[in-house]
This record gives sequence, structure tokens and C-alpha cells, in this order.
Amino acid sequence: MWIKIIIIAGIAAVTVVLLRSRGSKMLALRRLAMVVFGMVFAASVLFQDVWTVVANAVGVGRGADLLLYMFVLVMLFFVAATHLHFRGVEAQVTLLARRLALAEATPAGEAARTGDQSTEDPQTS
Amino acid sequence: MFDDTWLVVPLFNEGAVIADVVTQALQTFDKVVCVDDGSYDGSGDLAQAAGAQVVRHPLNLGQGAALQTGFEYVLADPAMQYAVTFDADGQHQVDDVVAMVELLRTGEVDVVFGSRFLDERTTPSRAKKAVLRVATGMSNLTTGLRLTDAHNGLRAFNRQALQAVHIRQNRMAHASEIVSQVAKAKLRFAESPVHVLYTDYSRSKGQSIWNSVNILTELLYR
Repeated sequence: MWIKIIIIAGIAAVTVVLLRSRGSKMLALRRLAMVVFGMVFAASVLFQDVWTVVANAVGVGRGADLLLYMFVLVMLFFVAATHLHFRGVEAQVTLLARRLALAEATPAGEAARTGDQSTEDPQTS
Repeated sequence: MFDDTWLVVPLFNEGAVIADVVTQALQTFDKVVCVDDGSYDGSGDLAQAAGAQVVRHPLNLGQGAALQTGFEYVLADPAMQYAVTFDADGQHQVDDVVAMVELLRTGEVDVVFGSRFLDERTTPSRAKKAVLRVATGMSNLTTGLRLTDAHNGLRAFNRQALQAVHIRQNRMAHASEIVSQVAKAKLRFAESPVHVLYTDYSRSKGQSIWNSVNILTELLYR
């Protein structure tokens, strides 16, 4: 069945692309993919039989089933992309928050010194 | 006596016990830093009033992030030779920390991991024991180090070891991450028996089976 190969290849592609999605080339590819995807989808609304024809060609019974498979694949891509994006943002927020926290705290070396003074200041003893 | 040692305490909403924990630690150790990880119950102020240094995260980031912040804080103290991670909920014993630092002072190891399974003092429930065994097994598989207790909050580092550790796992998987990095940096390590005290308080918020699921997924998707 062609559909099994296509879906598994799709999942693999999603994984690979997401793992190495860096830089402007990836962004451009993503945008192009969105445009192509939109045009294909619009066309398929005008020519509804296309889904069934393609579905039969790849070994799926009905066009609606093929649509569902595609939807799941796209959904998976979206979830993974969002996850990666959030992980990046979280790493940045962490660094930012850490810098802020350390900048506002009494420095460790200084804290230690004031601690020594309070116990060893000759004037107070 | 211990002016070259820092206790690093990740702190998140432990207002009920943190003052006692800090007070008790300060009886032995001069330098205690609590990294307040966005507590909203005033834990940070309580720790400060009890005499600890407090570093405040502006928002909650997770225990791993709090530990890394604490590490970077104490590394800025040139007098720091040893740093010990210590839980804020009162389940660790200061005496155990002393033993771990003494072990580091011999110069034979760079890192000492606490383990509750090396003697008979700690009595976890059967379910907890099972969870910890699974977590330890997983950790030993992924990190390449053989430890008897992978998720123990007590760990002691010398300065060189602390510089080699960079925690990126913000949430719970940092425990295994630390072990991996210790293995990767080829640091010399030992385990030291510690007594984990399970009170009703710690039981009410301790690591449940759900938490171990979270740890596993975080490790798989790092």
C-alpha cells in the first residue's frame, strides 16, 4: 500500500526537518510549503473528485480517509514545531530570569564578607 | 570551619518549613543560599529572615533551573571550594552533608552523591521504593554511571566539578542530567549514605508515580 509508505515517510520527514530546522533557508521552505499547501487545498475544493482519485492511486478507499490522514500528519507537524519553539523560548526565558535573579541578589563573595564582619568586627566584641 | 562550603537550596513554596531548615543548616554551615523559584507563599522572605542569602527567580522555572542559578551564584564566591545541593522541605540531615564534605576534603573524589539505600536509616513506602528503583534503573541506563539512588537531592561538588555541570533540564530530569555530565567530564565520584526523613509534610508533596512519568518523558524528549 502506497499510503503506508507515504505516511511513514511523512512522519520521518517531519522528525528530520524539525531536528535540523535552523536558519532562513528553513523558514523560506516552510513558507513555500504553506503556499503550496494552500493552493492544493483550494484546488481540491474546486475539484472534489481529485481526493478520491489520489486516494485510490495511493491505496486508500475514500478521499475523506486520505484527507483525515493528511490532517493527522499536518497536526503532528504542528505539535512538534510548537513544542520545539516553546522549548527554545523557555531556554531563553531561563537565561534571562537567571541573569536578573543574580543581578538583584547580594553577590556571594560580598555576602560572605559581611557575614565575617558581623562575627569578627573588633569594635563590637 | 565550613566557610569554604555553600549549601544550595532550591526553594519553591516551602513556607511551612523553610525557616527551620535554614536555621538548622546555619548552625553548622555559614553559607546558605536559597534560590527562590517564584514562590508565592513568602518562602523567600522567610528564608532571608532566617539568615540565608536569597536569589529570586522572577517566575517559576523549575528545580533544575533553580539549582543552576544557585551554582552560578556560589561560583562567584572565590572562597567557595565545595557546594552541596540540599532540599528545602526538611527531609535532609545536616550531619550527612558534613560527612559528604569531609569526603570531598580528602581530595579523592570530585562529587559525592547521597544515597538513601546504602544503610537502613531511610524507610520509604513500598510504592515509593518501587518508583525510585525504576528511576534509578532508567538513570543508570541513560547516564552510564552506576548509582544506587538516582533522585536524591543531596549532592556535594568540589569547585572543579561544579564548573563542569551545566543544567539545562529546567524541571525534574536535571537529576539524571547532572549524573550524565559527571560521567562525561570523567569526574571522580562516590556515594555517601544519607537519611531521608519522610514526614507527613514531605509525603504530602513528595515524588509520586506521576512525577516519575514526567521525568521519563523529559528525559526522552531532551
